[in-house]
Amino acid sequence: MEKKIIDKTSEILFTYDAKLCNPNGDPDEENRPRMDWEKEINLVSDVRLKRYIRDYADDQGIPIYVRKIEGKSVKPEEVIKSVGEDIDELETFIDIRLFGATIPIKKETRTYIGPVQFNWGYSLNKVELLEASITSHFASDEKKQQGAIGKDYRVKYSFIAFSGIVSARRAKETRLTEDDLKFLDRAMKEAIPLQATRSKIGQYPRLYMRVEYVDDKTLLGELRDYVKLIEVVEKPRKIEDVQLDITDLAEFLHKNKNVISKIYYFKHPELCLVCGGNVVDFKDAFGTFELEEV
Amino acid sequence: MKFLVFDLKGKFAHFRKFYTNSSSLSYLVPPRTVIEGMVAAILGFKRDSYYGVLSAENLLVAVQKIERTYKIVQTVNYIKAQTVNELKNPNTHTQVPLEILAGYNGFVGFRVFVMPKDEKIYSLLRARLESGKSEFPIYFGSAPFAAKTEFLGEFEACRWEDSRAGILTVLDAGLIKSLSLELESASSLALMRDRMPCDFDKDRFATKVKTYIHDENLNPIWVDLDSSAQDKVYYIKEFSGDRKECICVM
Repeated sequence: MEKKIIDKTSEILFTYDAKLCNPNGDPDEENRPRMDWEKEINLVSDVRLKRYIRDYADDQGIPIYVRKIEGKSVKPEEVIKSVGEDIDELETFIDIRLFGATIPIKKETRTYIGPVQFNWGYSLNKVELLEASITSHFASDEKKQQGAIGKDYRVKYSFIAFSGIVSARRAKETRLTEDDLKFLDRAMKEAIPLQATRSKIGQYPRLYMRVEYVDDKTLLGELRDYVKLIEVVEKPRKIEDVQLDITDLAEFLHKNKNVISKIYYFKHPELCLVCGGNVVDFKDAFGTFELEEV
Repeated sequence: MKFLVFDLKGKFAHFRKFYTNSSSLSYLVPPRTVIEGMVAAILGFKRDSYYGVLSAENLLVAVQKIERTYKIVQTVNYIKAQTVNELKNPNTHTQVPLEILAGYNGFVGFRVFVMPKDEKIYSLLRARLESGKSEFPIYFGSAPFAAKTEFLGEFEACRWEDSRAGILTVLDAGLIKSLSLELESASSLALMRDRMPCDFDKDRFATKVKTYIHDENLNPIWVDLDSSAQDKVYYIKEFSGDRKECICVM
């Protein structure tokens, strides 16, 4: 176990696509996918992404704080008790170390701002919604003979980009270790496909980059600004219909090479990367950096 | 006297209005307390430790909106808790409308003028802004909404002695004797008025709340100033058009 608390900041670029599913519903909009109608793009909240990672930890038997116990919702004291009396919450719960928490325990509420923060995700393409009526075998009322009818909304195709940061300074407060970050890298790759439910099936991580800097204060800013989605066909409907142009990203990172220590990454084989007008391998574009595939 | 000037940019923002209890509505510009918190983050002051040293008296702040914005309303699913014990009750959720500020050009942007009166703080802040490095990450009002500084430099400023001025920045409405809108420019004005916190006491309660106005179309606002504006309005040559626009401390 690598118990070393991280001492370098990172910035994250994460893209995944969603085909005929609902990446993140808006509860006040009949659970329609979240949309920015001004720009006709699809939105995904940061807490949706964090929940994938929490559930992934939970499935692996890693204790998390924001959860239910045996399917029942409980008081925070109970969650703390369920893993043993007098525990150290930072030692025990990986999600507090990653994302922070408010821990309301009688007379002393502790607040941690998480070292890992994601901005809201948005689609790099314009997104159309598909609307359907669905029928259920369950009645909405015990007197009714027929099943209930509901609405089902999905995106036709959405290529979603998230950006995130990892703050070494905040990591000191929550004791986030190198190991925890390795877990995060793995979760980013595996969590979404594993959490496939009715509304979430059809989503695949396509590109993940965690650019680790040389010190604890460097942050270069939104990496999403340096990637562009090329729509090979009008109105893309699948991963083969798009390419990701990383020309500006490669240029930007090379320009700042002196503050970058390492890039952790994975790239889905079906995603086509374009750099300087040519289709490239990830390693062609970023080979001059120290790379580690997660 | 000199002001440190930097631009702030970020994809989204959420500056929560303090006077709504459930809906998370957002101001259109960051209140002074947000900038105060950002300066504290850059310098590395811990949460709740800087309300005195960076108070309105010790840190002059003026904010100019430089990007046109629109709002997205999204409902988020929060855990419902009326007592602390319920905070971890994921069976009861409550849906809270959240206003997110987004920019027509793809990002939200503000120009910030600050002057910490303490020389040590001033020089550390200048060094940090020059290097673009911040002790804690800075964000636009809510932790997910990361923001980035672009340092423009330090600029000589002088007090504006005249009673009439075109104000580039968010304007403290208390300093206005009369709005002297010129009709030809008035047609492109979209004046917004709101009450925002200006200062915190040590327990993070707003001690000063003021009414501010700004123009959503990014024009300066021409006003006749009250005599109380004497030490609040400054002229900086480099940020002033040919009509001598000024900045106003929040």
